[in-house]
Amino acid sequence: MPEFERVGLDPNFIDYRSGVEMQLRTHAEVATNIRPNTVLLLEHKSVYTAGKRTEEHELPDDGSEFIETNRGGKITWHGPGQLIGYPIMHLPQPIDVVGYVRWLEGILISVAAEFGVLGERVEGRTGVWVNTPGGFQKLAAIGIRVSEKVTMHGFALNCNNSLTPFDHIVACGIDDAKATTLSKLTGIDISPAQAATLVEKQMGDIPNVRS
Amino acid sequence: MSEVTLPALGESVTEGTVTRWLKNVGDTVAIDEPLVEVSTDKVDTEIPSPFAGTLQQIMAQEDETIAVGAVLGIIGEVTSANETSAPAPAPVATEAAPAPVAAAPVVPETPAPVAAAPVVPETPAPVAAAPVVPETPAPVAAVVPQPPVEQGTDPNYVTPIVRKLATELGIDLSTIRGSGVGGRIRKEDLTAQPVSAVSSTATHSPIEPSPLRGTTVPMSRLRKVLSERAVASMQQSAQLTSVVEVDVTKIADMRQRIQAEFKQKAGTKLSFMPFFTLAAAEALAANPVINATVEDTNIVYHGSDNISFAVDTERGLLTPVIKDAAHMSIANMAQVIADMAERTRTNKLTLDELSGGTFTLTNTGSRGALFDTPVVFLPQSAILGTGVVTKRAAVVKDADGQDAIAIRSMVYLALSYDHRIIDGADASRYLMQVKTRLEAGQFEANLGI
Repeated sequence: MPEFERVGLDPNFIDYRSGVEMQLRTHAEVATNIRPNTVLLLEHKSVYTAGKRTEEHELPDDGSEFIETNRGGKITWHGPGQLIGYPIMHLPQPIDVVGYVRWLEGILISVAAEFGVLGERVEGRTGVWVNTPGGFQKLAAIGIRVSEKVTMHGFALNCNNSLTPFDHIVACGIDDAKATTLSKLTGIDISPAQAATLVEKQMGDIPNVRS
Repeated sequence: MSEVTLPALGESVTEGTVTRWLKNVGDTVAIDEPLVEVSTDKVDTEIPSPFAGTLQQIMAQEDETIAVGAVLGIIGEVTSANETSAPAPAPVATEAAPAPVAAAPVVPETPAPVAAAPVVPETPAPVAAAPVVPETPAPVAAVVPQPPVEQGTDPNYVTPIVRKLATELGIDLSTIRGSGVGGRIRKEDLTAQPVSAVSSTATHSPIEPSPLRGTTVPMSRLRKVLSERAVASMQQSAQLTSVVEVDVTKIADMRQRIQAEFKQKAGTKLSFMPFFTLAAAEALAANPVINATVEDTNIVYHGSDNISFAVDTERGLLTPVIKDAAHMSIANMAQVIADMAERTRTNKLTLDELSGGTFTLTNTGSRGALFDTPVVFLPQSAILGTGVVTKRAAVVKDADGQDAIAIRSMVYLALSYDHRIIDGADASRYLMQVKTRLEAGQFEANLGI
């Protein structure tokens, strides 16, 4: 079992750069076996981040602030009401990065299920999706970096965040799918802290999927 | 000398894109030291060096996508000079062994498919628990093909995905002669289709029908205006389109070189748009008929170049105007474009900012189109559409003046114009001036940072 650290949940939102620093510090300690596998759980202040595979035309060209990061994936938004999980964990050898992503999706699907929400994987689209009458909507996003065989970055689970910040990305027309939150789907207010408790319960060690 | 190949990073990973080399040619690397960074789908992974030695050659450049097993680079043995170059030394690192794929094809870089779904209006959802809202596309991951990863050395080994594909295609595997190492069957052996075509069937994601289907909705006021103006333009003018291809590699290089500095100083990211806008505006001065209006039997040549640029909003197409664009710096232009696009989308433009355009620029490539035949906005006489900038193989002169094929950043510029006053030769002259300006790539004096 990894160690879980709630480093900043409502009302102590973490700005994105501080979050990156926390990750780097934790990563260095995990990679050198000074500390065990660790999962940082937090909420960010509102920010757009662009992963390495973001293409020029997908950036919000409306002048919105965005930060380029060294995770995989494309552009997204983070902010209050969204549970961020940064698992800093040794990947079993031989490494299977896709297996790791699928494992994270599985955990988030289990967490959603505890609230009565049926999360699904959609082939070709990393993350957790919910099939609604209005089409597949994204409940959780995933973006990962692996350095020295230890993971960084992780997942963002929409709990009770506002969905309007995504509008600027809508305006760019980068996608045909929409986002949703646990609160919207269930009609009850579900905070990141509540979801964090379930993540702590559901997340064990990374299985060695290729063995 | 040892080849470092792209290791199998997972069951379904068949290729990766080099995002960054962490070592330069000539650098010494230790076993297991991070050598290069590779991006696959949603994951960026450092590849540790399987050998100790000196990085002698980089075979896969940054942004290049290569198959699992293809060569990333070559590391020279500095410690044991006598050692012969073993074709496949066992990696000392505990990474997955590089799969011995013979001459794996390089998958060309293609823009991630972007589906342009119609804007979904706010409608009461049939199910209370999950209302339909006009919100948020989360980013679509580039669809990574999921064909087989070949592993092991048993020629009879068939990956589960090849087996699955064979079943889908109704092919008896025993009748297939494999082209892989040791005669192993690769998925390419099952179909003549290129990799991407195969994978698109393998990773087909569902297309959701729009809730607008089967409904009748009155046009918004903006939609009515757009509709009337589009028809009026087609009926009252004689328009046609001319297209040129432009090599913007120098601008692409410049953007890469100065992006960080530009963003810091100008406060906005440097895209291709300001370059296109500046070149288009400058060329108007020498080609006044492109920047003109028909009034009865007169031609009005405008004294300034006011560029309308098309902004796609949820309400519909709007065209704010950049006044005197030819005299602006790139930095200023980038700021104005970002500011106006934002205020267009948030409905904060003044009427003045939406009027007075003498020529229009439309970034039809923002969603991946190679080129369009845009419709001229009356009373203007021409509109320039910029396609998507893509890397293509192009014929260039090498250092010896010989023809050679190189990877260049290319774009199509399409000019729709009113043939009542603009002849084809006029349009071509204008386009060639824009092309020449862009290809020369000399914008240092215009940067404004």
